[in-house]
Amino acid sequence: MQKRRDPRKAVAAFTAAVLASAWLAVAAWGGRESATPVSAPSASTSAPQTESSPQSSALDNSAGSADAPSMSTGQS
Amino acid sequence: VNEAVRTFRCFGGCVSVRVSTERGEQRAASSLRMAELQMRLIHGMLTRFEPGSELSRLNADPRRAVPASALLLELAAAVRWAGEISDGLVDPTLLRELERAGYAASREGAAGLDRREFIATIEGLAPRPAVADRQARWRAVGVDRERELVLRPPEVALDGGGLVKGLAADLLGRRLSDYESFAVDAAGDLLLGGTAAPERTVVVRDPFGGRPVRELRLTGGAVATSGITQRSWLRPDGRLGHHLIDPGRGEPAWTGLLQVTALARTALEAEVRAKAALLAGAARAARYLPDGGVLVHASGHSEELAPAAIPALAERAA
Repeated sequence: MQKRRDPRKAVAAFTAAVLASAWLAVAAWGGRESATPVSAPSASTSAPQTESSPQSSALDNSAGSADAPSMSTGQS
Repeated sequence: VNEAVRTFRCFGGCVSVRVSTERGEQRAASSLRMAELQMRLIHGMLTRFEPGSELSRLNADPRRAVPASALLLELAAAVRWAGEISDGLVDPTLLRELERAGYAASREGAAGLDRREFIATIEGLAPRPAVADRQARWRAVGVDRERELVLRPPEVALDGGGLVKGLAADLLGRRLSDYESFAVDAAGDLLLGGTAAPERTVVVRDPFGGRPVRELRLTGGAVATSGITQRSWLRPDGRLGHHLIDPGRGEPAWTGLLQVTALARTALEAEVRAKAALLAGAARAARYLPDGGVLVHASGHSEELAPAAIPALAERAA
């Protein structure tokens, strides 16, 4: 008797194939990052420049075009 | 510096990408469209919540060596690296423990516990620094780049978690680095740069959505924040549930810190360092924040760790 393939697995395989193909196309855009690992940065002693001022309020950064707008970091 | 911005939902949160418009607004808009496509593809390939993602297929694959895309190879390499730089505290192989703690499906749109509920769950609990898992399953994850294989025992499942956001921001940053300025906000993980990057204000948000706790001034580099309040829930037995697992105990950690923000050169590094510092607890957090950061304690008090104030930095330089 012919063995039937699980349709969920078939859909998952199809999805994965489409995503992988699309990734190759996007990775080729600019052609710079796809071959170079980014996941092992070496230890650095040069820190980004920072200074602090506690309890300040956030600025709106929703404009479509702006001058060095503020950004925010938090849990997502 | 004039910038164009594109904002969209991805990685279970809000993503925004900015580039300067010195080469024309059309070119900037085109780059931002491609940026969105790239971020969506990375999410689609590496989310654990979709059975068709490459990560889910890897986790279900019974082979020890599994053919993988360049992107999945990067994630697998990042899993190993995260374990190494965090002394095993950031262990992305704790997927089963995470699911047992109540995080088996996406929590996008689900509200965390409010301040009062959260405080009630930790009342009377003694903070304990997290400890590494003796098994250190992350050590069993490897990458064969030549043959494009991810290597791991089939029973070891990977959770992309925040690593994917960091990776995505770094990959996109490489692509946008020719602009005078760019900024990537991958659902809270930030990467700033450009050939003439301006100084920006980065606001550190409150763990419970109150007034911002700090402002940082940055011209480049990465910032990431990890915490246990926004994605928190009550478990069936009334205990606190969240997504930062203590590897040695296999349970959501309670170290006395609500949130940690880390600065680093790359978004991936910032993401790992923020998690490691939170899991290490206040007394050892500085060890994992060589480029500085911000701690928010259970009392609500926030504390900024500057790079120069960290002994580990001098040790590393020596």
